[in-house]
Formats: sequence, structure tokens, C-alpha cells
Amino acid sequence: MDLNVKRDGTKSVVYVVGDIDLHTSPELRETVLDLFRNREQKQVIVNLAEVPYVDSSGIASLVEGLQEARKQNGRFVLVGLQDGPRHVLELTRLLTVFEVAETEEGVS
Amino acid sequence: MAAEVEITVVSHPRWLRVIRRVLAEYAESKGLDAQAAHEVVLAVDEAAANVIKHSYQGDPGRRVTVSASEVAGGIEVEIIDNGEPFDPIDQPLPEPDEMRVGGRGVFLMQAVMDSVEYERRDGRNCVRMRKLLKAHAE
Repeated sequence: MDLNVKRDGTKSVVYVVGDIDLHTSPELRETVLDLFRNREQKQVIVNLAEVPYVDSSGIASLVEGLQEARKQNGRFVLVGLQDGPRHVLELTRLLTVFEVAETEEGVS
Repeated sequence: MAAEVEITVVSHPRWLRVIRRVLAEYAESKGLDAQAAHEVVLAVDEAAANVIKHSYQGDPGRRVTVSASEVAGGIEVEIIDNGEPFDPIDQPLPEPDEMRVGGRGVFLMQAVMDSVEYERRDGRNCVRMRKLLKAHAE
């Protein structure tokens, strides 16, 4: 998995490429939490367009990101969900808990 | 029935990806559609991750074996380790929509497979799961 962060003022986009699993999810978790806690970011978009697979540890990392956003009165958005990750969010009944958009441009 | 596919990796999370690739190939070769194949991969990945986290408590130098075979109407996979006893079926399941961070792996295994069984056999944990082809499951 590769991570690339683009920051613009208090808004960030985290571009993820590759599977999010037990091996890779800690890096995503730390990156997202760092943006909210240490870099004064108020909106974090996680772009998952290049992520074919997310396991429960990846879901846990995203839940932590959302929790941290709420704690900081920030915003946490998932964009570009592929079928696999979308299915896992549906199965865990979290798809409606997250703010989800098709594309970055679709985030108002 | 003897397994058609068997893979053993050391218990480091980096090798989960290899297990997923092997299982995806196997599931597709048996006629499972893309969603069913993804569900088998997910369940096996979660079971193997549980072995690493719980049975081996993070020790990266142990071994996890995954085998797959064809059964009437579908496929059966086994995940075997020789770590501490860990019964994934005997774990609490999260409430729907709950904002809890972890603990969804076992829930996912049970949600996507047609059966999940656990056995402690000869000092080893054995998780056996079945996925039926849609025509047989309905």
C-alpha cells in the first residue's frame, strides 16, 4: 500500500493505493490521526479509488478517523469506493455512518 | 477429501496478501462469481489475521496453513495453526452501526460464509468454513 497526502490549508486528501489489511492499516490510521491531531486539519478526504480490498482492521482505522474528526469538529469523507470495500462497509452496516462521495469533486 | 490447494506462510501480516491471491484464484476457478470470491477471500483473510493476532499473539515466526478443497455444492477452506487455543466463534459480535473500532473480523467471517466451525485438534486450532455456489445456497 502506498499513501500520498495532499494538503491545502486545513483540507487534506489522502490517496491510498493498494490493499488495506492487517499489515498496512496501521500506516493509514497514523496518517489520518496525525492530520487531525497535529496538523490542524479540519477536513480529511480518503481517496480509495485505487483500493481493491479493505479488511476489518482497515475498517477499524477508518472508524478511528471518523471518531477523531467528530472529536475535533472536523469532517472525514471517503471517496471512490470500489465494490469490495463498499461491500465490507455494507456488511458491517457502516456505509451510512460514513460520509461517502463518488469523487473528490462531489465533496461539497 | 484431500485439499487441492494448500499454502503455508509465516505468521507475519505481510503474507496475508499472498494467502488472498491464492484463495481468489481458487474461488474463481471453482466458478464463484466476483462477489462470492471476494467474500471467501475476506473470510480467510480475517481468520488468518486472527491467528496472527490471537493464537500467536503477534509472534511473526510461527506458521499458518490454509487449504482449500471442493465439496458438494461449493468449496471448503481450513485455516490451521498450532498457537494458543482461540475459538473465533466464541467471541462477542458488535452491534450493527456501532462505532466500535475493532472486533468485526469474526462477524464478517460469519456474515459471508455458509458455515464456520472451530475445532481444537491435536494441539492445533482448526477453523473450517464453507461457501456454497449460489445455485446450491438458494
